[in-house]
Amino acid sequence: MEPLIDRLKGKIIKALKLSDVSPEDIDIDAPLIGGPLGIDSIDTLELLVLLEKEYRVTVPDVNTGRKVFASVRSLAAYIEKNRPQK
Amino acid sequence: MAHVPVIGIGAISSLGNNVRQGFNAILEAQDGISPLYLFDSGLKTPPLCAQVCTIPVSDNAPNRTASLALCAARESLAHIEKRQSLSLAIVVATTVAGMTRSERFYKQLRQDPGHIENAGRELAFHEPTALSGFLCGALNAHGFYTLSTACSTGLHAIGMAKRLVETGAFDLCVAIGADTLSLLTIRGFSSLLLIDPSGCKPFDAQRAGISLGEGSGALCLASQKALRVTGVRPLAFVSGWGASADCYHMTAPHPGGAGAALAVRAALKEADCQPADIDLIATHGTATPDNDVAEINAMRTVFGKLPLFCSMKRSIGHTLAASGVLEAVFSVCALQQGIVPPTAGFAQPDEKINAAPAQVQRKELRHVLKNSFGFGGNNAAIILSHADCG
Amino acid sequence: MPRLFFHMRIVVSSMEYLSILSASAVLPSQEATWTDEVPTTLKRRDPRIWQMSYVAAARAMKNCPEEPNSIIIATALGALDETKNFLDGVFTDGLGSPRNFIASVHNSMAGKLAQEFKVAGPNLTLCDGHNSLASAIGACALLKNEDLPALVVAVDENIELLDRLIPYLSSECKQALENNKQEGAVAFVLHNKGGNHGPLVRSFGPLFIGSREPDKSCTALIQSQNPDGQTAVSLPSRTDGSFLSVPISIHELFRARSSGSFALCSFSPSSKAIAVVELCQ
Repeated sequence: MEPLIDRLKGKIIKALKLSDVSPEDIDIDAPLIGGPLGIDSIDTLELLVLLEKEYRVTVPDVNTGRKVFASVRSLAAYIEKNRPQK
Repeated sequence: MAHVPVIGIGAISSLGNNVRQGFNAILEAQDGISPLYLFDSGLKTPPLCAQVCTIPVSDNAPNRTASLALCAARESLAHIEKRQSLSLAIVVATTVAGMTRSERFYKQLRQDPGHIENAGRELAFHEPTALSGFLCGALNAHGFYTLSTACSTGLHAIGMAKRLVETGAFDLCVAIGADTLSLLTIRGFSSLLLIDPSGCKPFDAQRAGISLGEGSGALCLASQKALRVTGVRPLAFVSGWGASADCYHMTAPHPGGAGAALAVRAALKEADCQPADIDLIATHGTATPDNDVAEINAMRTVFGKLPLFCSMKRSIGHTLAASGVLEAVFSVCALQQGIVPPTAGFAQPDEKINAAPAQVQRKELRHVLKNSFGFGGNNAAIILSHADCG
Repeated sequence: MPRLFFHMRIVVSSMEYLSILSASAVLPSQEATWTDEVPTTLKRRDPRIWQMSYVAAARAMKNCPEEPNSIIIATALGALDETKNFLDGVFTDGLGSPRNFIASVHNSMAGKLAQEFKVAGPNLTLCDGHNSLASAIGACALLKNEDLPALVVAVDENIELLDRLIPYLSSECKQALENNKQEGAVAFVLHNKGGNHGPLVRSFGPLFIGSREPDKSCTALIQSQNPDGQTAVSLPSRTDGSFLSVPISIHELFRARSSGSFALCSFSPSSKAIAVVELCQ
């Protein structure tokens, strides 16, 4: 899952325009929303767009969403599990 | 600050082409939404929206928003004769304006660069101000202002119209709110997960978002001089306007409703009303999980004991900039007829809100508070008073 | 008192004067380093049009003895870039960015400024094309005393798409947008006239003129309001073709402390309406 996490960090930075953050700065176990990156509720919506656009993965409801977006690691695990097989 | 007379009202919505049809349908708690058929939204399932069936023919209106606006504005002025010697201004509230045509143009331009040659024609009415210019020409109006503050615009337009009349700037002033459905607004609200796929349920425990709608409302205000010249009796009065900003978040309302309470208090003060004088709140009631609870929280801080309240959003949809004026028009009907409208779409109260909208009932209404809360934490409140309370 | 404009059958009200407490402008074409004044949180992700509004507002309020109680934005086209970007997302892969949509709403600048500067009073956005500043000043004059002073910001942005489209618009629109590269934000803090004698500002309009000639209509309007002929008049045909022409000119006159009475007229081909902003100092 390492390569996925690395690429995911880059995509998050780009999608959320976190121009002053580099991939090395991101702690993959820190809370994503409301955590050190300053991500808010609108950003979660942007992340949903990212999931669908880059990985063709959707989130069915708010409760699943909370677990999925708990951290970069949980996000990567969700993508890994749900992405359509190539 | 005066109580300014309302001498004309107009409305076109998914429930009918005029005020009478629309209000009668609201009284029956009619469900005004259906799967979007006006155009393809590109979403997997067409969202449930309030759509106007047929718009009466309107002189070369450049876009659908303009057709709707002209229809409502004409109805509000139809019975007012002898206005040639009176000065008339309009305050226009819109979000979409000519965007429907612009977004179609842009889509085609992306596919076919040669389409740029049609820019002059297709974008002529892109600017919101173009809608106002068109309406001035069609209504023989002299001056105007064009406001765009999302969902709160309609009530701000009424407030500005009130000021224009009471300061003596114009004899007559029509507040016109108009919006149609567009790809931008449908896809925009959809991207914010604010649309309820099964239709909005204001104040309901199961509520999950809005249902967008199109329509237009018009409210004609008159000076004392205009009353004398036209001989029209007031239908009601606009007695107060409050406006504030939450300073909290760009899309979510302040949960305690502090900004909303500020706007309501300002309107009460101007109307010289105590909270106990308000007999009905025609809420913003959009049925998003956040709005409905924040709105009731705000009302509780102002009123203590909550007055009767209703929401019209399931019947006519959330018509964005038109909503304030459309729902104010129907509130005037409620005042005139002494009837509290029901709230279509509501079934079960939410224990977090701990209040339910009123059942339809006859009740003498002296003053009605109408709320609208827009994106960017923009709050507006208008107080409408019975014709005998002027 | 309303005055009747008999030969043109336009009724014009003499709006009250407001006093200008401070004014500032951000014109990116003239000032490469303006973004240095954008706080990091805004610079990261917020649209350029919000950033321009922020810097102009911050500058105006820095030099101002009183804090504003309300905010009024004057904009012709709003957040063009954000609207375009949202639609690009929808048309490209069916996914529009939520952040783009929020910013595309015309009053997003007003909401953002209220949030940043904690201004809790009335919050309005006037969209009257080239006449937007006149509308905003008119709206300001209608606010209650307790809602003043008001921060009024005229802002519009230019994007490459607009440049491409202009040559294909009507000749009136082309002329009115000749210099549309003049994008930026101009901010004023306006208060009750009170006992002040200057600098003062007021506006007339927008007034619908239909097919009447703009310059002649403006001249007639000015003459009716200032029959003594002491006002220096700038007519629409001679103004710089940009939505920000009038705000920029008012700002320049204010900054230069040019004394006298100045009437800056504008014409919006979209609405076929004229307006005037009058400055006295």
